[in-house]
Amino acid sequence: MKSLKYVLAFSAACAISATTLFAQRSSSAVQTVTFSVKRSHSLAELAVQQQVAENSRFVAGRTNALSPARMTEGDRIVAQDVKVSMSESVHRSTGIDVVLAPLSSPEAPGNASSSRAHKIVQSQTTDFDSSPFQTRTTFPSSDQVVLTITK
Amino acid sequence: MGARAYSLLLISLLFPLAALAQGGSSVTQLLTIEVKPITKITVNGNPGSLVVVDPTSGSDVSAVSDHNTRYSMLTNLENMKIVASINESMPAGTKLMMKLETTKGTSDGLVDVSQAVTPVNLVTGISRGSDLNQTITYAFAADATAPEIDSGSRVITLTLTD
Repeated sequence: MKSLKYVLAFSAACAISATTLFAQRSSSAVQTVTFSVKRSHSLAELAVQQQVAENSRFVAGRTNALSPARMTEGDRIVAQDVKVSMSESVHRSTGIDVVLAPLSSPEAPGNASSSRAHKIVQSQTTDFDSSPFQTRTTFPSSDQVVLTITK
Repeated sequence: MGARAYSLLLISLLFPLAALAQGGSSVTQLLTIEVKPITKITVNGNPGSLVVVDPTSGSDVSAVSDHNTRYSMLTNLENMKIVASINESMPAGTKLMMKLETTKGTSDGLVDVSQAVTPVNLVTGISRGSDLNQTITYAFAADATAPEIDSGSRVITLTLTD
C-alpha cells in the first residue's frame, strides 16, 4: 500500500513536470486581422450587343448606335433588342440594380414594374448558372436608353 | 630554568596543533543550478484594416498589404521556429498571407495562412538569442470570385516553439 502511494506521487510529479516543461518551450502571441472586399459599382462594365435582324445573331458594336460596346453608368445607347453581359464583378455584387430605361419616357430607374424600364438584374443574392451573366431585353421600339446602376 | 624548559616543551608540542588549525577548515556544499528553457514572443498590436476594392476579373487578383506591426522574440533554445495559425479559414476567393522578418532564423517568405487552421511555418532554424522589432507583413488578396465583404476578421496566433 505504501509503495502504491509512492508510485502515484511519482506519477503526479512527472505529469506536472512535463506540463511545466511544455509550457516553457512554447510561447504565443495573437493578432486580429480585419479585412473587407469593396466594389465600386461605377466601374462596373456591361457588354452590350444588339441583334442583327438578318441572321438573328447578337453582335457587339454592330452599329454606331451601340458605340461604345461596353457601357458604364450613365452611358446612353439607341437600341431595341439588346443583350447585356455583366462582368463577373457586377453580378457577384449584392444589392445593386442595373436598369436600362428609355430616355423618351423616363421612369424611376429602380422601378422594375414599369413596362418600359427594364431592370436587368437586382439584388444578386442567388447564384447564376452562366458566367458572365447575360440577359436579353427588348424595348417596344428603337429608342435611346440610359443605363443606371444603383445600390 | 626548569619552568622555562617546560614552557618551551609545551609550546613545541602544541605548535603543530596550532599550525593545523590555522591551515584551514573546510566544508562542502552541493550547489544545483538549472537554466529553464526560455521562449517568449510578443507583438505590438494589430495590423490596419486590409481593404481590397474592385477585384479584377479572371485569374488576376487585387492585393493590399500592411507592414505596420512588429514582433519580438527571445529564446535560449536552438533550432526553434515560429508558426502561424488562423482561427477560421478565409472566405472563398480571398487569400491572407504573412511574412516575418528575422535575423536569428530563416524566413519562409510570404506564406499563405488562409487555410492554416493547423499551424504553418513562417520562420525556421531559429538559434539562441533575441530578435527585436522585426516586421510582420500581411497581404490580403481577392479575385473576382470573392463576395463583397463589408467587414471580416480573423485571429492569427504566432507561436514560438520547437
